Amino acid sequence: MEFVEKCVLEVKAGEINKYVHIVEAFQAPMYRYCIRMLGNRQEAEDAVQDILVKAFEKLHMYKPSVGFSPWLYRIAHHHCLNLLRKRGVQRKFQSWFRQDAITESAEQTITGRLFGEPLSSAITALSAEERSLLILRVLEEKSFAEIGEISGKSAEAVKKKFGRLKLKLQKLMEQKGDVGYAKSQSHTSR
Amino acid sequence: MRKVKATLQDETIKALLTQGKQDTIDVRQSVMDRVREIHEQRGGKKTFRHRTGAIAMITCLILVLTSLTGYAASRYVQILNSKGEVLVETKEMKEDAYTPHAETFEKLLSAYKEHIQTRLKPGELVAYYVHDETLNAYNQFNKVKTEYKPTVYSSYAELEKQLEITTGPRLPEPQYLPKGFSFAAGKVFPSVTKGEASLEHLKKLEPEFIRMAESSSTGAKLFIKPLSWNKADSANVSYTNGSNTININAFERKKHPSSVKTMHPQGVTVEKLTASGQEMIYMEASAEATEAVFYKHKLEWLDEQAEVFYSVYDNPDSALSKSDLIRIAGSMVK
Repeated sequence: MEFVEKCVLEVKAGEINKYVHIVEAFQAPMYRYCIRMLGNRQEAEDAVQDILVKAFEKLHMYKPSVGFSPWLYRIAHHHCLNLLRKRGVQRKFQSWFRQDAITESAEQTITGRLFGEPLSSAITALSAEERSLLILRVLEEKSFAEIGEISGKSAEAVKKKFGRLKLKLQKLMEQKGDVGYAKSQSHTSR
Repeated sequence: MRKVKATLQDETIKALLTQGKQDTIDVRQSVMDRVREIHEQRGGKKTFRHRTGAIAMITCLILVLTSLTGYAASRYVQILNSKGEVLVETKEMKEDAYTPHAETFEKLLSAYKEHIQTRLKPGELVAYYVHDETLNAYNQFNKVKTEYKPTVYSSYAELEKQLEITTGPRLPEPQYLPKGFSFAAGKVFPSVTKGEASLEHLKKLEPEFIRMAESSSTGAKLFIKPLSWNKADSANVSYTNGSNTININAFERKKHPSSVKTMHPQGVTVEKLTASGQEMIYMEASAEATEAVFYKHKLEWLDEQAEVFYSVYDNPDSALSKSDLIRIAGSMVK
C-alpha cells in the first residue's frame, strides 16, 4: 500500500490525474463489496463511482495513520447502509401506491447467482450490518481491528459479533434443509 | 470430555461467497470526469483530459446526428439544480421484474396482506408479523411489515384540510384538466421515515412479535398490532372522466445529498422537458411495458423549495396525449 499512500500525497498536492491510480487499485474490491451488499449490479457500479468520488472530496480529511484501505471501506460501508435504508423506505412507497412492478426481485436474482443456496437464502435474512461484517471478514479478509475502524466499533466487539453471526448463519442454513452438511460438521471430542 | 461442535468454517463461507462468475468493472473514466469537475469547481486549474482524436470525432458525430433527427428521448436523464447538484435521475432496471424468488415471496405475503386489509377500518394503520420461516427467509430488511387502509376523501377541500392537519406534503390542485375530468378521490399516507411506521420503530417491535409468536399455543402465524400516526409524508389525488384516470402523487422529500432515483423497466423511454419553467422527467411506456408499469405517460419532478417530489401519471390504455399531461403538470407549478 506504499504506492497508494504516495498517490494520495500527490493528489493532495494538486496532481489530480494521479487519482486514477487509486481508482484502478480499489475499483475491483469496492465492486466485490458493493455487489454483495446491494445485490444489484447497476446499483453496485454506481455505488463504486460515488464512493470513489466521495473519497476524493474528503481526501483533505484523510490521515495516513489510519491507512487508506480501511478509510475507504468505511466510506463504502456507510454508503451502502444508507442506500439499503433508503431502499427500504422506497419499497414502502411503491407498495402503497403500486406504481411500479419492480420490487426486490433484482436483488434476489443477483443474490441467488452470487451466493448459491443454501447461503443465498441465509444471506437474505441477515441485516445490512451483518452482511457487511461477513463480506469484510471472510471475503476481503480484514482483521477485526480493521473492521472495527471501518464500522466504528472495538475489535473485541466485532469479534464477538462475528462469532454470533456464524452461529446464526449455520442455523439458517440448517433450516434451509442442508441438514446433512451440519451433521457432518458436528463431532464430539474425547 | 468436553463436547465440541464445529461451527461453520470461514473457508466454507468464502467458497460459497465466491461462487459464480465474478464481474469486473472499469469506472476510471466516469470517476475521473467527476473528480476533475469537482477540482475545477474548487478553483483548481483545468486538468488535461486524455481524450483521443477518434473519441472526440465520434462524440461530434453523435451530437450532429442527434440535432438532425431531433431525437430527444434517451435511456438516462438527470435534473440538476442551480449549483449543478443532481436532484433527480432515472434508472433503468435491466433484470426481469419478477424472479422465482420474488414471485414466491409476493404470493406468500399477498394472502396475509389481503386478509389484513379486510379487517382494517379507513385511516387504520397496523404492524404485522408472520411467523413463517420460509417467508422470513426471503425478507431482507424487516420481518415486521405495515398495512394501511387510507380514508378516501371525496373533495379536494377535504383532502387539503387533512394534509394540513397531518402536516403532509403540499399537493396543489391542477389548474388545467382535460374536458370531462373531475375529482375522483384523495388519500393521505402516514410517514414512513418518522413515527411508528418507520423502519427503526418496526425493527424495535420485532422481538416483541417473535416472543408473542413463540409463546402462542394456538399455532397462529399472523400477529397484528395497531399503530398510531399523526404525520403524513405522502398523498394521492385522482381525477377521472369515467374511462381514463389521472393520478397525482406527492412525496415529502427533505433536502438530501443524494438524488431521487426514479426507476423504470425496459420499454419505457425517458426524456427531460420543461413545463411552466420547471424541469421534469417524462416517461412513456411502450405497448409491451404499460401493464408492467400501470401507466402510459408519467411526469415527475422535485420541487426543491417545497421539498416535495411529484409524480403525475395516467392509466395504461389512456386516451390522453403527452401534451395533455404536460399541461396538467405545468398547471400545478407555482
